[in-house]
Amino acid sequence: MISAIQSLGRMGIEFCDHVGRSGIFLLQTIFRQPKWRQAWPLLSTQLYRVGVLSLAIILLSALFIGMVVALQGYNTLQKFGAEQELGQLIALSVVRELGPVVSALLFAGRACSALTAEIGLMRATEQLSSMEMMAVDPLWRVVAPRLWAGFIALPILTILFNVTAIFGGHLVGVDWLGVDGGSFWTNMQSAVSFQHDILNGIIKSLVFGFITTWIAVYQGFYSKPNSVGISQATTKTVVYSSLLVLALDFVLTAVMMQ
Amino acid sequence: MSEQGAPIICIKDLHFSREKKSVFAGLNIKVQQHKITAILGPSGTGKTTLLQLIGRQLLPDSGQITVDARDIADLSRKQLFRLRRRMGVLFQGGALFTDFNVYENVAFPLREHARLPEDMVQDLVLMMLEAVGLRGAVNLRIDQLSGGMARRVALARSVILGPDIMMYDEPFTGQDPIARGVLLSLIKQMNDALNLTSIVISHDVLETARIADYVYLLAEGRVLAEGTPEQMFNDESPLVKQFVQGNPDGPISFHYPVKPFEEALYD
Amino acid sequence: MRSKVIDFIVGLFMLAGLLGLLLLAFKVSGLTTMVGNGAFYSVSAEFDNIGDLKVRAPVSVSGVTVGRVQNIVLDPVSFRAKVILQIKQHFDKFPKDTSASILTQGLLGSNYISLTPGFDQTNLKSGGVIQTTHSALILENIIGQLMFNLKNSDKPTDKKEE
Repeated sequence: MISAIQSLGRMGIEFCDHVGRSGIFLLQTIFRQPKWRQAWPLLSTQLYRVGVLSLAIILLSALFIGMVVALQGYNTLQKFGAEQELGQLIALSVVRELGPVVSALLFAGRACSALTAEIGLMRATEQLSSMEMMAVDPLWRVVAPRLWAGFIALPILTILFNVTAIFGGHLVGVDWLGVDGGSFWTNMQSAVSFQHDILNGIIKSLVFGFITTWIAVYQGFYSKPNSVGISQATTKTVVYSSLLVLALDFVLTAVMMQ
Repeated sequence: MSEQGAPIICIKDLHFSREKKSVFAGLNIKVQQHKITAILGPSGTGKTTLLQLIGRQLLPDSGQITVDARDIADLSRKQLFRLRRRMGVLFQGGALFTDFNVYENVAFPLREHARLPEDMVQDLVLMMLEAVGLRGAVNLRIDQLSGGMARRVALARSVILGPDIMMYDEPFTGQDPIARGVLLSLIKQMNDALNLTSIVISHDVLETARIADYVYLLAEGRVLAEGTPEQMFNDESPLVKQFVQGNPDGPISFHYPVKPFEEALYD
Repeated sequence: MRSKVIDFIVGLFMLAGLLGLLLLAFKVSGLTTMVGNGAFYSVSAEFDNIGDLKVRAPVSVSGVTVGRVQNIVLDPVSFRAKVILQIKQHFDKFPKDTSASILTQGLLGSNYISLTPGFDQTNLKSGGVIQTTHSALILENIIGQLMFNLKNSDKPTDKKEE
């Protein structure tokens, strides 16, 4: 009994340890002096790897999700004779919740796990150590570009997700199920507020991008330098990121609904 | 700077432990300038940790490490930066950057620390690669290199900025005799041609003895024996003898600590 | 050379994001109708009961949208709902005695404001007040009135029997 409490306490202390360490890690990485001419190519490469290469999965998922929401929504709205509201149903679900959350989850699974594995491998093959010994700060050269790339990429991916999902919904709703195209858009426009819905969704994606990328690079940087360590770190990244995204989504939605 | 013959790196009474296990308990080492110093010892005695301590990637629990008579624990970030530029490290396996090719890897220190025009960078890179015999491999990707080739490229990368001190972490481990011979001769040549101070960490006694000027044998976290290679081979103490001759059993026992088998059988 | 291609692609990526944002702003949320406050003028109207009327509900004349509800506040003196209407500058010739009613879009739809022009010579100006208003139809009130009327129509027969 006592040992159970002891191990619980130890876990609590370790957790605080980790949070503190990752906080210091984050601050050290963000507040370095950037050498701008050198910084852009690094950032650009990472934006390509983290953002552009995630486009395929994000856009495809968006298309299918938009189509499914349209289908399901039509089924239910039909019972009330309210099919013209399909446009606003799709737009609001996508822009407020599905866009930011699903993009973040897909991002965590694809881009963040790749980041953790990459940095973890660099740690295991002593590339980070050798960089340090060559008087090059690995936090600046390896971690910071990836961190900033994640912050910038996820909001952009979310916006593109939103557009594609609404397009998918339009395909199914208007072209297939026969909802009137004009009222599809007009009802949507009168129901969706730029400030409250779209901007809030983008704020959510900014927060998600911050959290998921931070967890990804932290886990990679502090992973144990062997194959087991890397796989553990990658799993932790995906699991923690996903759970935090869902939890924060609830908190943010509650705050924004005031 | 220090005169000829004075130790450039001095490790005094170093204590360091990791995860409650003591790694060093009172280590004393003096590295002479312009000489090749070998640090030998059984696996697991923390020899890589020693390199990390000298390079100040880790801080000791107690004791002092001085480079050029200055305690490295007292250095500011800028001074540490300058110190590290004077050191070159060859890690086990090379630790080349996998997203660059050979040329980019060797050019990396130049690009980071020196503002040179691109054609000068190219000349220097090719010169270094020529010195290690790999100028023909300049455009290969890292995954296309064999282990020995990777180490040679890493060597070229480490010396391109002209360091004063070179540290080699187990350079011969896992290499065939020819590759070993190549690396050995390269280490000696580099040391003489560039007037370096070299520290070679290894457990390959015979090979290292061929080029070392002075040898330290580590065991249980402190120096067990030191001397020139001839002195080591003639040393009478049982642990040194076991190590030098490669005997499976002796003061370092064959069995991992456990109660005798006869007792365990009857439990 | 390779990095130039990557830079280009990343640039395209970021432009796509910006374009997407603009699309979302204008096509999905109808931002244009809110932009350009100079092209609108405001008038106010007080109602006894606004029912389900929300901000940004349409303001229309004969079914054509001419503006939006900008704000709804409670007048602390008269305790009536004061609705501020934002009408496009284009439609500046509303007579002073125009009336405003709160109607429902379809059977289950949301409330909107319908303006019925009057006959006065002078027009409503920015900041003017619409005097004649018809509040929203509250379902409970209608049912209550119906029941009251039904009860009353029974009364003459009761008196006869007495």
